Amino acid sequence: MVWMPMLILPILFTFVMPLLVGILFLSIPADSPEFADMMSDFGAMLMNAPLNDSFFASLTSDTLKLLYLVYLYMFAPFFLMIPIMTGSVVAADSFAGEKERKTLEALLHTPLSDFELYLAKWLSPLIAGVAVSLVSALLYAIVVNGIGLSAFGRLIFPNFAWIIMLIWLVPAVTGLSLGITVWVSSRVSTFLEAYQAGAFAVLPFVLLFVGQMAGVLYFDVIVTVILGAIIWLIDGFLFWIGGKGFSRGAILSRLS
Amino acid sequence: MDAIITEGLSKHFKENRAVNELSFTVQEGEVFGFLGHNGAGKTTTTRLLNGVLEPTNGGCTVLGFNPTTQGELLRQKTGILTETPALDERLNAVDNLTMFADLYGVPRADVKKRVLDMLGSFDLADRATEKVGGYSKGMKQRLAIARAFLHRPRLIFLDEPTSSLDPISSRGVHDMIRHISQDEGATVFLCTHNLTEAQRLCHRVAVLEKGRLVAIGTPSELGAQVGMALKYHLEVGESQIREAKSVLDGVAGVSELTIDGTVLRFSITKKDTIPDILAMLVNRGVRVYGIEAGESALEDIYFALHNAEVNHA
Ligand SMILES: Nc1ncnc2c1ncn2[C@@H]1O[C@H](COP(=O)(O)OP(=O)(O)O)[C@@H](O)[C@H]1O
Ligand SMILES: [Mg+2]
Repeated sequence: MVWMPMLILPILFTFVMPLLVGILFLSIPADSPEFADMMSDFGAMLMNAPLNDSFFASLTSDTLKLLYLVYLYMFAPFFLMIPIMTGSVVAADSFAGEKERKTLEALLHTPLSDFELYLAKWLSPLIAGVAVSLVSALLYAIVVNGIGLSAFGRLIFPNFAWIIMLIWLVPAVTGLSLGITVWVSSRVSTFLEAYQAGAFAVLPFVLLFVGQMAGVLYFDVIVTVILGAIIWLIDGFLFWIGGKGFSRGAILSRLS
Repeated sequence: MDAIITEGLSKHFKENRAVNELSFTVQEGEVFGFLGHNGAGKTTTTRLLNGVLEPTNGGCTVLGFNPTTQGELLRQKTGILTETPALDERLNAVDNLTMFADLYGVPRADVKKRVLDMLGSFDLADRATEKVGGYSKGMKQRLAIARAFLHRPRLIFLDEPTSSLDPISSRGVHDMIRHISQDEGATVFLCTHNLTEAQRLCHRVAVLEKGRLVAIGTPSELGAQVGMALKYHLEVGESQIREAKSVLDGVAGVSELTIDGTVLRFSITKKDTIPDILAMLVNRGVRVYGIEAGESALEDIYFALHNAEVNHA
């Protein structure tokens, strides 16, 4: 049951939505009133985004331009929500959920040092978040290229910016969501509270999405690298802060 | 060598002196009973001894280690059954044990055999691949003890291993404890609030009350130390109650004599009185249908101790 959001979200973002969008775009003729409506709704904003993408520039049809923008740029923030959700679910489960299952005390009595216990608490959600993201990316690549190959005449996903995002930004963002979850779960007593707090980490990316829609921000390699570096720094800070209060004795006093 | 030495060991939670200046030793190979009511400080003591909590005052040496500074080394050589079994109910028995075998550094090559051996010797082999969530309480407890003993610790802490079990499951756990002590030679630190359990299983027993050690010794020493009465029920022929009563009235050391139908209940201070009583009854022609030892409760020890204190004052 805990794992449901981890599965629903990636399948929605990497399979259902791109598939529907692709079918919709390719089935609406570029000279129809429906297409004109869509362009006036949000297409124009995307078209005006100051992109430095030569393949995009070489595209001649408005339909393909719009589909390319949606696939390679608009879905990116959605993608970042996948590791956020996964990381916070697993972290909430391993910090607060353990408290509920009472398995934690047995772990405290093992030979693991305090630091090893803490590190293990970080690593498992981090690995889970990154793994789910990579699998999602694979699925996304199949859908996007499956729909787009004949239309674009080449594989469009992933491009260089996406690869950087997947290996640099995704782990950083996973760390951010679980850092917040760890910090919160040391202060709450149930899995649900911890999980809900972790999901707060999603908010910045919703804002980012809105910002991108307005053409303010866009994903290119430099932005991705800088954003990733900032988030890694915040991660390091959260790891350090969380580790300071992490000792066996401190955990025990919260158990009882 | 002594397995455990504590000197003035204390743990305070704010004003609450949960563990208050404990000084005792546990010899290697011993089954040591740690007897006390809820809140007496048993669990806190095991946490101090295993280096999971730091003492407020005093200290202890466990298997030659200082738990506060050498906890990781110490915990490689100890095992524990915590108060709640703390198993992962989503996993099966094999996976539960394998996970802890890894955490306790059992060599990879030995893990599989060791896990199957443990499941076999504690009667869990036929349900080894079932999810633990579906186990009975007794099975969970046996699995948790198997898990605590996986890495062949020299010292094992058992925190109230039978408190939530029915008599048959309890007996299974008692058999495990004997096996661990007699066949494997490990030292057992057994926390319990069940006096009878402590008397049956333990070489020595310490009695804890509100964080303080109030008595320590072998079960029989303890009985003598606190002047604790041994209770017996005697069943005789219906017409011979009066006769039997007059015999018992004449025996030194018999007290608290009451009659309940054809059963006489009484207390004595020394076990040796029983054969004498029986011989006298038979001499007087009383037909004895049965005699059995009544169970003493932890309250009896506390009661006896407090009486002794009052008498001293
Ligand atoms: N982490 C803790 N924080 C505050 N008080 C505690 C904590 N653990 C135990 N206590 C208190 O210490 C006393 C002894 O508890 P405990 O060792 O669990 O007793 P027992 O195991 O004999 O039932 C109790 O009064 C309990 O409320
Ligand atoms: Mg306890």
